[in-house]
Amino acid sequence: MDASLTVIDDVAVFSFSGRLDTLGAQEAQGYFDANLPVETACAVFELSGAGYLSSAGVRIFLRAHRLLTARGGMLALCGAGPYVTDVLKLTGLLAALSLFDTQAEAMAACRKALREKYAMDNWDHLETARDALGAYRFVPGSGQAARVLILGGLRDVLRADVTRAMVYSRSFAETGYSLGFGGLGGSEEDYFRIMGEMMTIAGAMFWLPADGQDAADYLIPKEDAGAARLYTPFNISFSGAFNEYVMFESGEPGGAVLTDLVKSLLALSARRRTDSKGVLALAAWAEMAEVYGAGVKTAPFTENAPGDKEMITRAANLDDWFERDREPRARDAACLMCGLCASLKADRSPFSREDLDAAFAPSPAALSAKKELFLAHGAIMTKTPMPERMADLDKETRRIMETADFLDMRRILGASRVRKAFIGVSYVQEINRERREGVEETPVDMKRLRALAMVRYMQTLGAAKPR
Amino acid sequence: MPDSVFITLDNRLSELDRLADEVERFGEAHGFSPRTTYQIRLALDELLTNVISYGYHDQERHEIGVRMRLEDGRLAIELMDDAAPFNPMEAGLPDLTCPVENRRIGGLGIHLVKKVMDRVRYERKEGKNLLMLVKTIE
Repeated sequence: MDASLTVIDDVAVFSFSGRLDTLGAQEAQGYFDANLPVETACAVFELSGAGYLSSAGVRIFLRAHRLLTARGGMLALCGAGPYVTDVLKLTGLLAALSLFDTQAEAMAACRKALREKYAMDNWDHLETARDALGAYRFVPGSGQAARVLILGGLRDVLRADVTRAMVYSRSFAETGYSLGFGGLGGSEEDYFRIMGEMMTIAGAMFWLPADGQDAADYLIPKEDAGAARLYTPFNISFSGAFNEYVMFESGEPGGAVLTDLVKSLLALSARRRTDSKGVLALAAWAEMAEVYGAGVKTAPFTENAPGDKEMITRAANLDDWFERDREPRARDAACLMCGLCASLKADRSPFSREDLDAAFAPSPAALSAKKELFLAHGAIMTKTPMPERMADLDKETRRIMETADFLDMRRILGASRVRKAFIGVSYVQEINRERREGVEETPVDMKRLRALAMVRYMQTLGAAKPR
Repeated sequence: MPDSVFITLDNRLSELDRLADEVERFGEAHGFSPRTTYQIRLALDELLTNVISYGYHDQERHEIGVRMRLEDGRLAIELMDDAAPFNPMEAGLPDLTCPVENRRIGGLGIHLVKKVMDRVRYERKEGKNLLMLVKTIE
């Protein structure tokens, strides 16, 4: 066994090569104990030179993991060959220990952990702001340039002009954080006719099937989230590596109106961030005083198009097509949200007219009024105490999904009121768009509903719904 | 190479390297996949580390016997030692469901042996520990 250490950006990178058996592990442990700098909270174990690992080697990983976690940091393993990975898998520790393919990925995870540790340790010294709505605290996030991908367009959905040829198949891993329309199913017939509002967030998928039952559902693929697929004619997706997190607290006990909060976030971004181009990709865990929601009642495909050939949002069609709350659907609830907003005042907007149309399908009136455009979907959960300090939305979201009960999912309307929220914000630099042309459809009998789709889907995946 | 080999080791951890070389040679001669050879090495490593580290209460030199026999696509391994009676199959298993931060260290080795071998049987015979392992060779 040979060991070496390089410290890069406060991360201790240990390379272990040779055999990590009982004797090798003893040597590695000795080297680690003697050389880990006392103030270091994050370490990478580079294993590309380690050809053999036994349980003795696994034990030193566990010990190092505990030590570093106790220091508020993490251990990241990388470069493990197939047999070494096998051993980690067989011990059942692969999920618990963080294993990365490359050292660069391991380093990125450690830098993120250090950034979070810094934010938690220096919470009181983080930048804050205050306006008419309430107070804001800003937690630094990833420096990655944020990109948004828009598949299809909202206008096709709102015209009920979706055909099978326009539906994309995407894995959970590809969608990351996303909102749009779509469905789950083993085959096209399962989902196509019941496509409804959809959202993916922190490895979970929430869905409001348009099967006339107005009952939402959700799914968390158990292990290999990459294999789970969803189908969508309209989807806006972005990465969970947010540029910044905002802890917001409303100044009013009744909460801040969501539309106003979005306006404030856009205004703050214009003032504070030189990298803001007036388009924000957002996700949040919010404590809601009131939630108003909306969802389509019927899947927006061509055969169902309204007789008047107008948008389904038009006044004459609205009630036929949408379940739209006039009273709050929920009060005092938690909401996991995913959204996109844009300021039409921004002069450097990365949005082209076509992009704007794909994401928001704005009316000419909204465009000429230069109002903010905003679209958000959300999962409504039972209220859960929100930690005073948070630095990573993805982690916190996974935690709340384990503890809170799922109540509902739908489009979240701007009239909803927010008491407190931890918001991941990405300042969008680039928008990519894909659109498929529709083709004529031949009518088919509507026969399969959601239950069938879910059963088949879960069989294909071996997926599990918690509780 | 014959289909059966018998190797004797001293009760020192450094002997495990020599055993690993023997396993490599045996596997190569009989066309085992590298993964299979790795798993056999791993199982022997885990079991013998236990015997050598915790089985002897004196400072004497002891002999450990390892027999590998290949028959009808199955590898049978016998381990014989005169250490204190110990049935690894009855040793506590790690609780793999509890979070890693809280997990008790230990028991992982035996868990790995059970995972990579198709059968493990223990006998105490004539004052010796006898462990019989079987692995199907793909």
